[in-house]
Amino acid sequence: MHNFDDLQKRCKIYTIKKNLKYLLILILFLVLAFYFYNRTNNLTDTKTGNENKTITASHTVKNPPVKNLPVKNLPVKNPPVKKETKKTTVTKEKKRPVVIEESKKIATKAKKYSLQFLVASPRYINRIKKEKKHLETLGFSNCKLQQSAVYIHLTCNESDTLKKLDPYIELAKRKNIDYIIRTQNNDAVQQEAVVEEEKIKETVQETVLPIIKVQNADTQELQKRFAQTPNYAVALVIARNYYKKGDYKKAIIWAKKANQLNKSDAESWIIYAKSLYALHQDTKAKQLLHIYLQYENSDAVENLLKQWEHTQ
Amino acid sequence: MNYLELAQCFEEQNSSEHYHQNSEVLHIKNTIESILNNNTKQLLFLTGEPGVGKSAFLNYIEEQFSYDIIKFDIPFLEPIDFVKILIQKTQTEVANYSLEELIKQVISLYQNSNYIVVLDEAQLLSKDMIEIIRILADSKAFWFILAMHEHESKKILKEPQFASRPHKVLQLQNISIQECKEYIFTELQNKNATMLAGEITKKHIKTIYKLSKGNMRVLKKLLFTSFLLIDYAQKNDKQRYKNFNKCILTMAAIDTGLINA
Repeated sequence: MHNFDDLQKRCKIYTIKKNLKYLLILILFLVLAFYFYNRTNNLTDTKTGNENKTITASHTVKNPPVKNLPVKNLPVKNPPVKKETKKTTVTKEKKRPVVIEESKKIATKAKKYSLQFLVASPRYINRIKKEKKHLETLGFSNCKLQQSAVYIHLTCNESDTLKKLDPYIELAKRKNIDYIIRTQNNDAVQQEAVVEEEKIKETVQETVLPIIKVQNADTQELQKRFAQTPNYAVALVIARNYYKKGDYKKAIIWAKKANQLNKSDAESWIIYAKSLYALHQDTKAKQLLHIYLQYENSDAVENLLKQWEHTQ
Repeated sequence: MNYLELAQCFEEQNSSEHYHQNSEVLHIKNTIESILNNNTKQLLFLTGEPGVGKSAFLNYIEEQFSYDIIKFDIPFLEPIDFVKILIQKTQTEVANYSLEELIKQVISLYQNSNYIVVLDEAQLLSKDMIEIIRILADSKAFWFILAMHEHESKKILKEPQFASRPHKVLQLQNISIQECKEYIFTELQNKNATMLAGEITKKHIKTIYKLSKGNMRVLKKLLFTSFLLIDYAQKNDKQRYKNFNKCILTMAAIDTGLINA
């Protein structure tokens, strides 16, 4: 068998060629599989992209973009607080749609920043607490329920600088949770919307939600709202407004209404007593506060009583 | 284990000793026997691909049948010589007659006998020879078995002298994979090489069958070359090729031209 070595070589070449054929088929198959996988992914992405566009559009309709307008100069007069609440609740229940957001940090005089996820009426307290727990499990820290005059604000990750919020903004984006950056200073509560880049129009536009100043809300408006949904905080604001105006009788009425909704909070008692005091019913005012102190401890009430005793 | 001896056992042989009976062979054999017993003398055509085992089968039936068989392996005959040979087979002296008179003589000699004239490679017969065979077949003095290649047989059978006469066509086909396996293991067993039977796996049998397509001649050639290669490897200390394996089979297939590499 003189050609054994030659046969050996030819055999090796043949085996390589044969295996190469299978290898090429395998590679072709993998390439095709990869191509189809990518194609399917792209289709899904496009679908999601369309959803985003719709959501972005709905945002711009509700809150038309304000071009080159400094945040602090935004004119807001008695903003539709109720509408705002509705919007927040609706977005929350709509499976938290993805919002393409490019966070632009707005320079303000604010001292503290936090991520606000929810604003709702205190009667939804249980749901708000549930949401708070859910956020904490997702990784947001220091979640708080902050009560403003009318609403409860669910905020997390309060910090001194906007930069510290960045990782949590990323987290919110990843989890498809709607949020706004809430800025607080000593004077009032401010809410700033995150500026969104509209890709459809290919123009950079800034969308800023209006600043809400609950304390300046119109008393009549608040009374209407109270008629629809009786709320301690609203009643208290109305009572306080009337007291400031000097309409002590009405202040007493609204303090009573507030007191019927929440007996433990000292504020309604204080306004009631102050109004009586202003109407020269000193004894009744002091008695009222003493009754309160029998049940609850309050420095504010004690201080007020001391103050009245000194003036006498 | 002596692989050279094993190689020799797969060498091309036409002796009936090494003939492997498979179901196809037995079926054809039974069919021929039944025709011989129940029909009038006529022409039988045994067709099949080259290497399928027609010649071996003819050798096999030569020993198996009780009939007297006159076998012609080489068909390059002149009609007069063919007739003379037939006369000589009866121990009769051949006179210096014309072809016509010799034909009459041969018919009268075989008229009441039960002879089978077997012609291998009948596709090579000349037209004159075909005419003589036709005349002798018509005389009903002989049975004729003509073995020929499948491809050529179609052409010959379309000739009017055969098409218009009673005849039977028997087709010998390639063996199945199971028969291929049985054949290999029987041959190995005959050579007391049952140990090697363990080396030849199902996969090897599949490859052998795929390469040979069930053709007995190709199958034998492939195994013959394989064992020769192993023998060479053992004698020349080629470590990887000392046993039966796929590589040896591929090399044998390349050597025999079954694989173009």
